[in-house]
Amino acid sequence: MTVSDLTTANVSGARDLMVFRGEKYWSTPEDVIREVHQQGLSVRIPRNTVPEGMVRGLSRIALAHIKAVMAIEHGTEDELRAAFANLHDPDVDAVLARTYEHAPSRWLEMPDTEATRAIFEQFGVKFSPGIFAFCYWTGCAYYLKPGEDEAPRDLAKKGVQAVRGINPETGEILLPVATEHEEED
Amino acid sequence: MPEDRLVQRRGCGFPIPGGVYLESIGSAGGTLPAIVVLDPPIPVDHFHRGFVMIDLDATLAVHNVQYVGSSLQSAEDYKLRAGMDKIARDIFGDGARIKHGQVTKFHDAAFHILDQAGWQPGGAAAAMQARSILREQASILAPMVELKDAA
Repeated sequence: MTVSDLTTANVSGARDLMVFRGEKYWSTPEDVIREVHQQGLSVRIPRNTVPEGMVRGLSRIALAHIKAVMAIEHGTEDELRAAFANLHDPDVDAVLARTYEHAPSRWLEMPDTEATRAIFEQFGVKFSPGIFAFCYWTGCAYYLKPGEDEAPRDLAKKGVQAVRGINPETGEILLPVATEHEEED
Repeated sequence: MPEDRLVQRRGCGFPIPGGVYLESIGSAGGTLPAIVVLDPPIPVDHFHRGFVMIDLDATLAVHNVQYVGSSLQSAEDYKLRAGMDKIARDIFGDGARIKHGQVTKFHDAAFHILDQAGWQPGGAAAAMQARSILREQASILAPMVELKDAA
């Protein structure tokens, strides 16, 4: 699939979009899934690119990750699992026993040891970009700066909701200080 | 009227005041699933910065995609990791993160250290004492932690 192959309206007449979740912050797609279960999805966008044609509860945000798709060049996933089970490593066994919604994430979350690297090499395991899930869009939020009580007019006209973010650990209003959050993530 | 919202730290940190965010936020008793996982994942030709408008229905129709749904196990794993990662950051600094597959081991090791030291939970003083005890025994926990660039 190439993005240029795609049109831009779903069967409900609402538009869908796709975003990548960066490996720097979510090392596996399962990390993203865990976070969404706990907190919902929030994706920062440039303020001059609020998408049009989105419909709450109908438009979807497809989630992509650079390591969403797994390919095994030599053997099957059952054989791969057996090879890891034969290591009799408690840390590996713990990962084998865990529940994963995104199945390839199990192999991404294997402990990084000489033995596990050898198995991945033997089976020719490779990962590539892909869409692994979607969420229903529920709106756009603008986080207020100190001293603001409403969203800037241009954003309010587009239906962007003003939100005052509060840190639950300190009870303090979030301040616009340097953070790890980057626009593309 | 603005909405006051308690916001948790995410993989990429806290939201930035002045920033605009696309959201998918469920509510108790709501009808939308928090997330729908696709099986198999759909290949995409390359990484894209920012968002890209797509026709998801067409994409799903072309591929033989099934829906996995969601599990509480995944949410519980996340909750445990979030708690343990916070302790790891207290001990090793902001860039610390527990390695994959090591969260339960880290939890058990930290609990054992505190138990051996006779630590009892309760109040802010006890929390500071726990942090001090764990920092003294950081070498035991270090193999389970990786340090990432916090910037």
